Amino acid sequence: MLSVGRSNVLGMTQAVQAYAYLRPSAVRESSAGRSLALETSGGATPAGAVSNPRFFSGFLTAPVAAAAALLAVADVAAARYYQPQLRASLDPVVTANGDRLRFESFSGCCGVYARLDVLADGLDGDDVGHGTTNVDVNNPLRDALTRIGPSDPLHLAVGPDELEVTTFDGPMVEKKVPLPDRWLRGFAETQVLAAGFDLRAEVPAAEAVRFLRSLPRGGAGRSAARTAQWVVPAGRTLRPTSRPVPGAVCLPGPERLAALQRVLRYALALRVYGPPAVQSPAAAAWEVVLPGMRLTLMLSPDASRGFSGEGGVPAALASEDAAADAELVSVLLAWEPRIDVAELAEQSGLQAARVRAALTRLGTAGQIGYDTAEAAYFHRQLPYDAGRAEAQNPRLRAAHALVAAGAVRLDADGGSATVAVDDHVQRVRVAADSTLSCTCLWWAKYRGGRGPCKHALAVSLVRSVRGVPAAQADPVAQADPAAQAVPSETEVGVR
Amino acid sequence: MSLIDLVRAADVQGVVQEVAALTPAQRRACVPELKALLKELSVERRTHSGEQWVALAVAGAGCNTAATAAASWLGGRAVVDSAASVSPALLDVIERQPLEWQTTVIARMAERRAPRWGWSSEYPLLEHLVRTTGCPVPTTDAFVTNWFRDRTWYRAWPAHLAGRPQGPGLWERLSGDSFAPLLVPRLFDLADIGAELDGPWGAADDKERWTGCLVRLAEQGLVDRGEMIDRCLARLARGGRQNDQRAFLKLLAAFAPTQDEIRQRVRSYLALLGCPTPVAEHAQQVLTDLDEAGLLDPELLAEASETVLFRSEKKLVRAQLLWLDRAARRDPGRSWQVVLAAAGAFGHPDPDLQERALKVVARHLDAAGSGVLPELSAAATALNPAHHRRAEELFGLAVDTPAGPYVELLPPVPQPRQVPAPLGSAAEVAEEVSAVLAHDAGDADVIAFERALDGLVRHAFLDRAALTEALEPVLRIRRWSARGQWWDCTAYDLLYVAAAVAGQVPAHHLLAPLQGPHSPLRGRLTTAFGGQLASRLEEAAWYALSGRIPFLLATPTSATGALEAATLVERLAAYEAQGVEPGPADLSQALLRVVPTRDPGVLAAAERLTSAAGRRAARWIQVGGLPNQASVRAELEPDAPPSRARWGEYSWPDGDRSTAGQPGVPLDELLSADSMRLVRPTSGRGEPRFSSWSYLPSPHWLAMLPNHREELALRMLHGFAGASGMEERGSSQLLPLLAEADGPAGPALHLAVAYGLGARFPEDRSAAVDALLVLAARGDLDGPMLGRELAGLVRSGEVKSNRLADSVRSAADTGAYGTVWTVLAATLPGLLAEEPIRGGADLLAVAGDCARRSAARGEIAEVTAVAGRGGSSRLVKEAGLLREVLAAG
Repeated sequence: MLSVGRSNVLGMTQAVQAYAYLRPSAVRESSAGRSLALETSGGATPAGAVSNPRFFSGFLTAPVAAAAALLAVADVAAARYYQPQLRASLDPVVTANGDRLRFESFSGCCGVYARLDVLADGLDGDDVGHGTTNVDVNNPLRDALTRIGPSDPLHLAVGPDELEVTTFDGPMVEKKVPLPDRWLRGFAETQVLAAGFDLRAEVPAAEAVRFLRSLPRGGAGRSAARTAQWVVPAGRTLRPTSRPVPGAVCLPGPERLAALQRVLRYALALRVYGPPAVQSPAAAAWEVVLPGMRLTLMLSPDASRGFSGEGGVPAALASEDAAADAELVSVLLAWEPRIDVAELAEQSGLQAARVRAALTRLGTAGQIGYDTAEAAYFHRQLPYDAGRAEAQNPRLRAAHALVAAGAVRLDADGGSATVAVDDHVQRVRVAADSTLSCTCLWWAKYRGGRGPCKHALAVSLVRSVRGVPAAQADPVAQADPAAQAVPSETEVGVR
Repeated sequence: MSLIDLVRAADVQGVVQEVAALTPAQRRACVPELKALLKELSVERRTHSGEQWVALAVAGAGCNTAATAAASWLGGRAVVDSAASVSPALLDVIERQPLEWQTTVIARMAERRAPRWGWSSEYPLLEHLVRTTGCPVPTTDAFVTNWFRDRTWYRAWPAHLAGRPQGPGLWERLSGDSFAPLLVPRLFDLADIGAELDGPWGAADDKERWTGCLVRLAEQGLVDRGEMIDRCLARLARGGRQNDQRAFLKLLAAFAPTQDEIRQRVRSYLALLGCPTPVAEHAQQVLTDLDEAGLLDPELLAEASETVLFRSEKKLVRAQLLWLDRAARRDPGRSWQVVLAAAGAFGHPDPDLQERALKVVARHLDAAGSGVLPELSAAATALNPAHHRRAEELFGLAVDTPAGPYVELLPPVPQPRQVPAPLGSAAEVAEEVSAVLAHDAGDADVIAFERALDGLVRHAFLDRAALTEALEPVLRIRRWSARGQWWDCTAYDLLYVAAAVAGQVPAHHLLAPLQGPHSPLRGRLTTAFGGQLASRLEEAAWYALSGRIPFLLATPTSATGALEAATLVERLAAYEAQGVEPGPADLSQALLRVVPTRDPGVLAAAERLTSAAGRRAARWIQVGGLPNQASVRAELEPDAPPSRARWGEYSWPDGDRSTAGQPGVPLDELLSADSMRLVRPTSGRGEPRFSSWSYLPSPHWLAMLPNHREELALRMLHGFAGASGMEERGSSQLLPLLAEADGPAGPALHLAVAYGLGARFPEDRSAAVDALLVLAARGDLDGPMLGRELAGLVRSGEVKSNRLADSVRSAADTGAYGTVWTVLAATLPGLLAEEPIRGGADLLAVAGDCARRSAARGEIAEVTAVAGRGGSSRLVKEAGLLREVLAAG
């Protein structure tokens, strides 16, 4: 029942995501007790595409916390933390990984990613199925979720049961929502970035509450959105600091953590994940540990800029040999909650490094997610036409155009290249460790912090065609600003 | 005339007749031409008359036989930006279309987003069509918004559009409106309608406003009262802007739900307890009343308390404790529930409220029975240590306290980043120069700037042609030109050197600095720091162009700007080997940067230098480099006339100024004129202040005197003072870097940190806290000195006590209780002597906490005096607590 089409609204071409649910999601009261029925629309399962799949039926062990956490995910889906007057809302995505349910959403401003993992401890019921689909969220459902009390158990059904599907003949609940390319690209980018994160801090509940409450709330359009803060673990607590000292995590646009306020009461701990040794504003993931659940919010490096331009994706896409590997690996995935790289390497007959590159590439196509708490990928297929966004990556397209125009000239020694753009040239330099750098203004500003520029991409495309080893074996390291910008402490001083 | 010609002639009536005369196929055929005309008219909008637009809109509405295309046309610029939507001709054409076409157009147009504010010009037409066609009333957000605004403001409609209920007051308009029962429930889904829900503003009384009218609609049975209340509660729980929350709360109050209605919706009210303060307060009041009437399930009181006591608002928590107390008094059988619920406030951030909770528990403990004791003492671990003794007395069990002696937690001493090897190729230099220029004037990284400058000199010496070629892509977008004298010299002026290398700087600009003061990098707003930088850049440009030196001497070895003596000696030895004479500015800067050393190997190597410059450097290193100057504290008189008052400069604002002066030091070795200016004696007035746009203190300034932070602090003190006194943003950001620099930490540095702790902006205060902790971690902090300075600044009004309390609280919370105590122990006497300052209680509370945790002892007379005053003020109470801690054991 899922379709992605392009509609012509006032002359502008825009992709539209269409949902078709059997009925609205709701909390229903019956003699058997309360039941939270989340309706599904269009999904991928091991058995192929299903219109209204069913993934779970059973009880939530911590109903109030789960209801609050689901609301937090829905909040992010409905929010724009930048230019909030524009509205955009795509329904959350649910993935059943066999032993757990994952609810994911991505804000309309493309700067905040939320995921609720309901783990085996949080569920009490039938087996959890396998697959990915959209779930309906509507206002009456939100209202009902706020009214959930602690006294009685809460039944959860993800998807209609089979009988309902076969006998259904009423009108479907249909929704059509714009699906911007930028949004899709950003969603995929979060997974590529998260794979480079490590645990930076963990604080107990009381400190977590104190810290999260001390953050500025910031109304709409306030300048708070522009300030990047740094946070560093100090003893049992987190301390704001004015600059990226070692061990610090960036907290850009702290008001975007507002969704966590909903679950503070049930928090057991707060964990923070971020890239190693950051020097400039960077993305970070904030995870609240709940009874039997984990709620993770990931923030882009700046409230005014979404994930889509972070540049991890084009680097992954530019290496052509990963494409075939990715196709091979994707066949082997079956909604595992944790993907074991060594096992995949054995099954596919590829080296572990190539499997990792293939997984990164799958991440860019929305076919894989990354769980920072487990430090592992998990299988899920975004129920969108993610390949389209991937193919339309502006920087990659520009790089292909440069290659097609014959603008790239490699120097004889292979140590540098000249890219002719219009009436001028840019020089791309290949360093000893195979990283590329460029003379263009964009590179000068970000120095790899947002991935390679189009000139560097074009050069690596040409180099990979000519059989020179691909510039970046590990695109994640490439996306890490620290890798290039920060000299390590062991390097010698100027002589 | 053809249809197009009629449109061009702006003959609206003609267009209507022509459209009527054409067959559908002929009309369709006109569409491409109309679109082309639309494009044509759009280009030169203003030169065409409004009537032309109306004619175009009418023609399009008539010719688009596909309803969706017609809806797009009507929503396009042709209609929206013109008066077409109120033209009778447009209605005429639309009404001649088939009913099905009209219905589709209505549905499509109802989906168009409503304007952000004000009226929608096409709404009257839309409502008219809905009424005349009898199609289902649209319930989209946009349609409801437009309907709501139309009824609120009741703007006049054109005569040919009718059907809207008439009336001077909102009630007349609504009571006769067939749309109202359908659209009123949808009002609760609209965002940002709070302000208008309070309207119409001109209404005589509340009965004529929306709130009153909605209640009356419910009374008349036109809308369902229960549904209204439900939707209102749901809307409040869903959250939204303050404005909206206030309006819907008012609406809820207007409906005044009966106790019976509340009882049926008790779960909705419980949900409101987690909402923004005014909503939560209302729900708390309603539920309290319900409980007093005996209509609330006792279980729900526990649930409500859990939600409310978790909140940080004192008023809510106080009210909840009161409610709990009353419930247990009324029915002692509920005591056990009440004491367990009240224990939920033991972890509250405010120790006062913890005490209240403890009192409630104490009052009902006997009635609750001993079964609750284990749970209570477990909860008591969250209590502030000040209350532990009381809790132990009450519960008869020891409260777990962290065992072992107190350990002070300070951040690790930061290790400055090392400067990597020099740039290896011309291409690298180009990239680095580009990166430096891509930043705003003062933002470029010190290491990046210094390496790029060195790289330019180095590679110009090796192969200037190759470097020029490599720089081409960078210089193509960065043209150098003499900027005039209204800026200070900054890292961006690296462009001058790069352009000079490429031969793009005219000779007179290169020669001017060598011959006199007319440098293109200097002007009347150049600071001493800017002058020092300018002298290096002028020299580097000239030497790079003439290829006289192979590399620079002054390039630091660490990010602070420090230069290892061994490295400087090596560089000088290389100069001697190549027979090169150093540039005076370069050598001066190198000498200012060199780290004092007593390493015999380095000193011996220095002795082996033979050239004149080498001998100078050797003597300099031998005596330990630039001598440190001792600062002398000074207070500037209020209204002291500024030393140099010219346009573009401003002096200290009126008032007392805490500052310091330095006498200067005799130097055996002469430095360059600009370097001498940096370290000359100062009275404490510092550099003249320039208007902020030319004043950009940056890490590059710190890197000029990396081993003399006291001198730096003094010369930049007015900037740091501005963060608190003038509420400027950002200058405190340099404080941590200053704390990481080397050299003695004297009065000026402590004063700078003191100003920073009272900065206006939180991020500036956290920078000052960083500096404080770095100083403490390096063992360089003089706590009593900082404490006395703080007391003086608060007394003179230069620092506000609430900002200071916030700073010291966050410094202490990181685990540095002992450090903060040493500071506050010296601050308190000054603040409490004679008349205690306002806000002293907050500082006393932090001090008490620090003293308790770091087990500080020793009476402070001023604290004892305040504690002995009697009375129930918070100041006296906090002083009493502190006195108790200091007197213990």
